[in-house]
Amino acid sequence: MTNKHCPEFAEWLVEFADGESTAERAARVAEHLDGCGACRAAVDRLQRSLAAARAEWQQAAAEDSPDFRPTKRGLSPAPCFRSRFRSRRVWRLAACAAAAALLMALASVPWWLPRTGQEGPPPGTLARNAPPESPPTHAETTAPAAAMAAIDPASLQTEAEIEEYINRQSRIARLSVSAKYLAAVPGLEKEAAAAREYIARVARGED
Amino acid sequence: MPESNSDALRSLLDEAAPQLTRLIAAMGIAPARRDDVLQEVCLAAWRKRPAGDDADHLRRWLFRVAVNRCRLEHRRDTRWRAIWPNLTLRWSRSAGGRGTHDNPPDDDDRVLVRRALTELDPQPRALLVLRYFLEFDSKEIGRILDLPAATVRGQLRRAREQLAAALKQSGYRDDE
Repeated sequence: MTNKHCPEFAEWLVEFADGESTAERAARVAEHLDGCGACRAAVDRLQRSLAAARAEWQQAAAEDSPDFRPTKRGLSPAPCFRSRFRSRRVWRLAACAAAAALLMALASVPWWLPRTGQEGPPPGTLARNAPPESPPTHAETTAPAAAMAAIDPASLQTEAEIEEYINRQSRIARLSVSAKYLAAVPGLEKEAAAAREYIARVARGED
Repeated sequence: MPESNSDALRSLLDEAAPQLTRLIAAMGIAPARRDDVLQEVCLAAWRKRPAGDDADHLRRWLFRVAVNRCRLEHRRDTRWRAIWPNLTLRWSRSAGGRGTHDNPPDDDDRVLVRRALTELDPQPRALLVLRYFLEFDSKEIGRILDLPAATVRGQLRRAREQLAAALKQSGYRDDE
């Protein structure tokens, strides 16, 4: 975008557009702009593009992720997790579990999708050391998958809809692995159940 | 980690949360991914925090982690987007094209702005966000990204020029 005709002013235009030039430099640039339409247009574009970017950032920041808000208590997971976590130790355990689950998420997606007769993690993962857990009900296990299946990808028409669909399903897959991991940690069964409930809400588009 | 350091980190995370959230959003991370990215920044903070009690140093480190995490997210997104146009095209065709309720004029402009921002490399984009959205000055940005302040100013100027050029090229309407 550098104005080839006025190289000596090119590197001052951004500063001038932002109102951050020294008085002397601002005066020189202003005098130049009086006689140079190209530089005037360049300053105008700089100002407009910045205004557009700021507006976009404000809007993007306002599109709050519904299951996460910074609170006075700090950076906490989704509300259904947060309300159950009474101690820092439990929060840290769950945070570490979520981190491990995130790393496992991509590889885990195929087996997460419920298959007939399959319960629990596949061999070689958590099963060996996992304490006995109450298996989720059939409704709890299949609700997210059923909600996913209810959306016909062919019905999605815009890039935004497709991206939201893929992001939502990815999120569900990650959350589900986290929930299974939580279920394997002693003492966090209730949190795991709350997580599965939350996942089903996400899948239904309620959160 | 000593309990006092743990409390200090927790306080810092509480205090920095709103700005980190804004940074992640402005770096173009999809809403559905933002909470994951923020959680990952927090986990990195717990696991890899630098030694010492200097709160300012820790705070700058945290923002650097967040910027780097966003960059990583963009790299993954770029790989996915390499096949994205083909998928989008196939789905759009099979669905019979766009509905008439999509993209009113204001959304068209927003799409153009988003696209122009996405075309920027993550480094210049991060500089723009830190400077013009989170309102750090060049010196502070230099400390966050471990760059000399003069380099930050130079890169910021080029980033502004790139943004203006990208928007102009995209056909963004220019109200005169």
